[in-house]
Amino acid sequence: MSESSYLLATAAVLFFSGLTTIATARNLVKNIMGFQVMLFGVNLALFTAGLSDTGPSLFSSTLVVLSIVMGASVEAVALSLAIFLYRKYGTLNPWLIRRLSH
Amino acid sequence: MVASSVAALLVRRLLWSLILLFYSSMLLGGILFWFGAVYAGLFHIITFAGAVSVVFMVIIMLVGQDPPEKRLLRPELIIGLALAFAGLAPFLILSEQLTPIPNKIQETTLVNSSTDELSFLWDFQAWSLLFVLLPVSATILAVVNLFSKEGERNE
Repeated sequence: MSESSYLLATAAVLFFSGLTTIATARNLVKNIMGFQVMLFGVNLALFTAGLSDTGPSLFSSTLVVLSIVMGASVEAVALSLAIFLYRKYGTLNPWLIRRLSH
Repeated sequence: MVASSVAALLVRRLLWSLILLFYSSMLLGGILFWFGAVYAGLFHIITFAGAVSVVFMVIIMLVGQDPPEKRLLRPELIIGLALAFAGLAPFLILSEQLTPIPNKIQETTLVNSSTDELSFLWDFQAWSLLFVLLPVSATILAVVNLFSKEGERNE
């Protein structure tokens, strides 16, 4: 297996672990952490996609930086929403919040 | 880095999750740095290990911690993780045929200038992995939703 394959496998593990956490976690902060791990996987995959013998492609590095910026912005908004929900419902458990909101 | 990230997601206390996530961010930035993407790596460390970690810390300080879950390894989590690792196989097979993303847009026309009409089916480009990523993600979400008892209770 080549170097890219290892990096891509790492990216896949990160992405799917984050996705599983988002689907199963019962704490909104943990959900956002899962999103961050997913984002790590995406960044690593984007970077690996441009990796060649001459080094990383400028295009893929640019995409990684764009992904970092957008991911950090989305996380900041998600965390502010988590604070809002905690103040309104008194819990961070999404299942409980769904019950309380009905 | 994988161990640190997965441990951050599995550990019960949010503070330990945050610390492990911080290390994971540092390591991923180090990997980018090591492979030559210096600015991307530095930007990654500054953004995630710096700013986002501080925001997470403030959030945890504000809301405190919910009581930790009693059962860490729930069935839907185990099934989801098993599917996650099962999703690795197509990735490893496809990654052997990857064509790196070119530096210039014009080069893409050179890469795609294959004479066979059906060549797009087996001349995998880097972004062709999306076709694997989407079905596997959809499967994970569907199976996890299927096994989630709390979701059924509310219907």
